[in-house]
Amino acid sequence: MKKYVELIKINLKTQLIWRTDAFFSMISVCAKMLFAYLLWGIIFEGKETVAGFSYSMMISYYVLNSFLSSMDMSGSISYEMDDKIRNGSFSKYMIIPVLPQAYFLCQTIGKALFYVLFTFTASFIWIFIFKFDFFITGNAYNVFSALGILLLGYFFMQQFHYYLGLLTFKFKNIFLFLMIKDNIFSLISGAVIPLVLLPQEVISVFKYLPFYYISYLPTMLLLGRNTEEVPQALVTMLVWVILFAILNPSTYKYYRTKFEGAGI
Amino acid sequence: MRYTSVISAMPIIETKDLTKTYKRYKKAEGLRGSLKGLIKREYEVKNAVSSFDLGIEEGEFTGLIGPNGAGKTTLIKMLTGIIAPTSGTISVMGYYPNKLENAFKKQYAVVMGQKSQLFFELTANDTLSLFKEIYDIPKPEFEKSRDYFVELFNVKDLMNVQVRNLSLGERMKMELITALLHNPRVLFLDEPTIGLDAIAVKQIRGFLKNVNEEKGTTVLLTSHYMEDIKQLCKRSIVINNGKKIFDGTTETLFTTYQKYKVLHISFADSTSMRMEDSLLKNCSILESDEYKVSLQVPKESSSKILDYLFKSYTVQDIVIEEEDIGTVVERMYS
Repeated sequence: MKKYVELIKINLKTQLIWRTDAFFSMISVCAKMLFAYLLWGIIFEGKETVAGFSYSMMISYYVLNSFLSSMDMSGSISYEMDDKIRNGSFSKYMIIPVLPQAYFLCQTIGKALFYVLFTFTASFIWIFIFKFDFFITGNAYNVFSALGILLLGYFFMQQFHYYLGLLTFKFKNIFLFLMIKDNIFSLISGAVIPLVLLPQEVISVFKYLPFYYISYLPTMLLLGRNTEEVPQALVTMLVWVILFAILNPSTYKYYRTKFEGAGI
Repeated sequence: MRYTSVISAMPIIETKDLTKTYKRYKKAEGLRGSLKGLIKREYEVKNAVSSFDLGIEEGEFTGLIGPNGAGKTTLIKMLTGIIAPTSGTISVMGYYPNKLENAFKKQYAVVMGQKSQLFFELTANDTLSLFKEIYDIPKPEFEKSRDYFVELFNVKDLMNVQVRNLSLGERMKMELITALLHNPRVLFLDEPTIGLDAIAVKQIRGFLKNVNEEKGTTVLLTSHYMEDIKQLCKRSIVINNGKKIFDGTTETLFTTYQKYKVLHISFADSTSMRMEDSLLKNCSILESDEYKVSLQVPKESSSKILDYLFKSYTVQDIVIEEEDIGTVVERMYS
């Protein structure tokens, strides 16, 4: 266990080296909030609610959703694996007594901690300065369910991106898969628009997929909504996590032993 | 900490009939060939390593030599478990490497000249702290091991410098310290001196020699530099086209097959060399202009030739080079 804690620490330390990055992370959070403030201000002009959301709730949705979806740092795993398998440096993970997936998980957590540190500070300062009426539910069931679903969601995303990265052993180039994934994810996670604006039939299909629960549902739960969806969310996420927990080790073993490229 | 659970009288590294074949896409020429490749592809099979038998005893320092594409790196990758063999048997410390068991990985280390385990943004000490946990090294052993290597390389002042600010030679020293921190039984080195300056090369050679002699670490070294092999390895294995073509003492290899040296001579004035002298009759000019000449000279008469050159010409500088591995391998084949 200590080795994984040390891996998280070293990845956090790596992030902290870049002072300009840290500064611009904070600036970009403030810029996003300002953008939401202006955009939704125009949309809400002369209206009390839009799709059942008040202005302050909509801003809260936007801030929370953008914060929670940005916390998922696993996207870079697939790109990194793709690059490392092809250029031959993936072997560095194979020769040390650490599972490559665990290595990448720790890397993701290290990066996410950095993000939490600066984004949270920036959000707090922004909300405090502008005295923004930020809404978050006081319902403990909602809050703890949101946290549980979020953790499962982030873990799943890490598993999923690792799986996509493993496909490099077979396909040599996985950019097409990544592009398709990015587009589907943006839509289903509610990162583009709140899902309540989509037809109900479409949403019911989305609910069997894990992406719906990554940031959208936790955001809604934190806003005191969609409480009835918690059981289905937990079961769905657990099923996906277990599925990939079985799939990833066998895929890794199968592809690495069959791999014939000049890389690794 | 040294793991001794799987020790027996058998060699620490052993392969029999070890073969690795790659399937390569044979693309037909031009656009037509590219379009054809979309529908049907033809493949050719290449033997990267072919029926390779190897036995290395614990504590040996062995050189693995061969030209580019000879199969050296493929062999190292199979021995470290990075790739799986196509056929044959392989055993390293009693383990089948490609199973990638943690118990196996804790007993060896690999240093590949152009692949790094270091975190470039952080210091070498940061990486060492990580490897302490990864290899589960108790604190007193970690400190003892780290201090031993730091002193051996004389790099105490560099331990808290960001890796990206270190020179290539300094980075390689840190790479070696990181690799040896857990006191591995076997060390695989793939071109550790590539691109380094003469001082760093000398220090690294001294370090490796020390580790082999003091700690009894088994070392398998691949290098393009004859001098690395000559100074470090008692035994040499020459590989070409995936096959072993020589396995014996390094001394035998060099006395039997390395017949020439190359002298690069720079003259103070414009000079035309007279090759008619009997001493130079077995020499050949590889390259020349009015101020310098590169001569291939028989090894046994190189000192006499040097003496003659100094007496007969206004020599400004002389560089002496060993024959490269490619030429020696070519001679072995012929």
